[in-house]
Amino acid sequence: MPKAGRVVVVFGLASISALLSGGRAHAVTTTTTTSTASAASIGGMLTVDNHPVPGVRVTASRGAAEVGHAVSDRRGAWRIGVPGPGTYKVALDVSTLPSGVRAERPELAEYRVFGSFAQSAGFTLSAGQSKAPGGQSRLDVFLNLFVSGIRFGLIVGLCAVGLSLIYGTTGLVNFAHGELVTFGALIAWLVNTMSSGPKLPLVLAAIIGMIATGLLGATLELGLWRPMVRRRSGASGRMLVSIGLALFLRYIYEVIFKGAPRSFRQYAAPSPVKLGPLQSPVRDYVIMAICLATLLVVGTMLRRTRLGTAIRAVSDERDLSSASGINVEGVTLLVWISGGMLAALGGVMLGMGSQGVQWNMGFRLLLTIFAAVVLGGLGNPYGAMAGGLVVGVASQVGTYWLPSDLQFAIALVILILVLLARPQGILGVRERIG
Amino acid sequence: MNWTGILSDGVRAGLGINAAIYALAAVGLNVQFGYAGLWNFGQAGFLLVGGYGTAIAVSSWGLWLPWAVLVGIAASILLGLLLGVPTLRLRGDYLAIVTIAAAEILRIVVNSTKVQSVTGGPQGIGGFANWFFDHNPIARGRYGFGTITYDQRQLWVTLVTWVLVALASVLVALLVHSPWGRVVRAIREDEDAVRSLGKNVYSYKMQALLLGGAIGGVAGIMLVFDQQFIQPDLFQSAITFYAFAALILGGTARILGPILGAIAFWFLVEGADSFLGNAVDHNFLGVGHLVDPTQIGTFRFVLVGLVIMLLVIFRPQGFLGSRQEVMLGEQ
Repeated sequence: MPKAGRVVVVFGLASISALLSGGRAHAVTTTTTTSTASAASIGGMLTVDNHPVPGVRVTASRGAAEVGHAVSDRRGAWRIGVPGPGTYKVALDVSTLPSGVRAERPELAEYRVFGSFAQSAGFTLSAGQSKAPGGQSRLDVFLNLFVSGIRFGLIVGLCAVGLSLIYGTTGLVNFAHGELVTFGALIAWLVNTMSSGPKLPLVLAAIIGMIATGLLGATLELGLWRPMVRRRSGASGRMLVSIGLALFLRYIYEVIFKGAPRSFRQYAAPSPVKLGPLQSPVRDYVIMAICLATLLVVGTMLRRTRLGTAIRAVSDERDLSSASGINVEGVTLLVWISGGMLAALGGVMLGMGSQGVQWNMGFRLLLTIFAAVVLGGLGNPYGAMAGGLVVGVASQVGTYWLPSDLQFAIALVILILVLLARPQGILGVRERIG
Repeated sequence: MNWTGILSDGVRAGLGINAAIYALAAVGLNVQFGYAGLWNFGQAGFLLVGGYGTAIAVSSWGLWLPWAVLVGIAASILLGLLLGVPTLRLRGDYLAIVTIAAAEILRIVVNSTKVQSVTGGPQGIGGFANWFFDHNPIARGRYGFGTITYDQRQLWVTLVTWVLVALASVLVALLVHSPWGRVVRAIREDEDAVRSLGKNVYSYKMQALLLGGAIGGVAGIMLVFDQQFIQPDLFQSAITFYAFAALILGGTARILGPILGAIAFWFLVEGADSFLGNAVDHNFLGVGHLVDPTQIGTFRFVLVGLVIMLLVIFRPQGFLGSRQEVMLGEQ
């Protein structure tokens, strides 16, 4: 493969190669020649909800003759060396799939290999239970999706409140907010699960993650954003800096924590409890309760306390608040700390779910958080909570009709539709828009 | 440490196809962001639509490749219209969020199993640019100087892309030095002032968005020509941020800014990659103990992030820009 071509593919597939971190992952059994960078090969990752699916046999054949097969390794990776360009049939051996996992299309009848390089072939696997007919009526499926949508929406809401408050008080569209979410979850994972870590209980670990992320927020405000504001940098310049910061932090996480998703030591795979038509583990209800309680506390504090009033005042009119004796820089610092803590809590709650804790989990959530914030009106914390719920429920319930690989797109389509119809958001104030 | 090897890796990348493609994408961004002050964070989406438009026109409709290229460009203009109509009346940060969201939606949708029969889903489409390579006038062989050589295929696609960069830059230069360019730049500085002079600000912004998007579409077409293959993963949002980094490095609102920026950017990124690879192999300054060789590719993103941050903070005008004409400066 030409050098120039490799470059593009390498960063294009960065997320995949991240999962393959450690060249060891290439040790996949093949019957034909071992795949090297220059030989033609077909490969891919088998995952369900971002969890690897090992031990699945994949075969490639041309005409009636099998040209090679591979078994997915513990990262779910497989690769088959093939003789060269041409059309192949690539098929999953369905009988080797773990129980409860099914392939939406187990066979790619006409897979074309174009040259002598490593190509990827995707198989979409789904966990049988999400849409499983296992005794559930269509209404039950719908209700379960609705409940998991509320859980997801509350988590998005937690992250969105912080982003919205930061926007309100500083005018910064913070593209690095996802990295605060990830940071909280990673720190919590570190002290909860890592083999050489202190292995604290998850509740303590979550609190430590929140404090650490609050400190990160404070460090960023004191070391980066405040000096920039003092140098009279525009909001647009700071937005671009936040993109650079996001890239920087995200890939540092990847270097340190490697690619694979991880679970917390506790509550990793609880069994679902039947509650009427609902089938969710108790853990999910606890997550919802914690998120809801936190949002209520934040909402009340913004309304009732002096600090909350100060935050809202700075949000509304920064210069006037400063003139009337509010310590604007102090309020901004507190907003960064609390925004970071809320994001971290959201990250831990997200990491308890099926997708686990991963270096890019916050980045994957970022646009959904944006959708929530815009839906509620940029800078409006109550709007962000409501927006989170709407986006969360819509993207989960939407998979009732649409394939689950489009779930993420649903939130973004909502975002664009809202901007078309009501750019100030559900609760936004008309005059805030330019 | 093989210093000449590192240097020639950097130079090869700086003159190579990626630099040319990113230069083209950055020329488009320069029209939108540099001259008109529009925050397009979805340039990857324009590349995607250009590339897929062309590939699908060939593979599904059987069009002659030059017509298919026009389809690709038309598709990226259409995307500009779809994005611009709702958002260009709103404040700038809305455009930023909507464009990045739209680029992600497009990437998810072409990847979806629902449209696999047209887009090929995750497997993508290949072999649509045969016409382009069949008309390669360059004889078989290796061309170049010293250790920096390209084969006839690379040279053909690279040369064509650089010629397109030059054409696009001339077009942009003519436009920005015309009355149109003065209005657009005035909109960037003070929209209300321009509006009070009776200009249709919305329409000028739309024209800038469409022009930049079309140039981005051409960049996408050359990207998939080079690969002879198209798949959703080629169009990660990282493309947009790379192009932004290249543009700011060279200098926004300067004709040569995006070109110089893209060359310098790829020289830096590939040179740093090569340096790190060498440093790990030779355990230079003890790097071999610190860096896992499989993670070298990851460090380029760390580097790009750092470059963006430092540039915007300390030198928002890049190499060529003037401090007065740069949106990132004081406000």
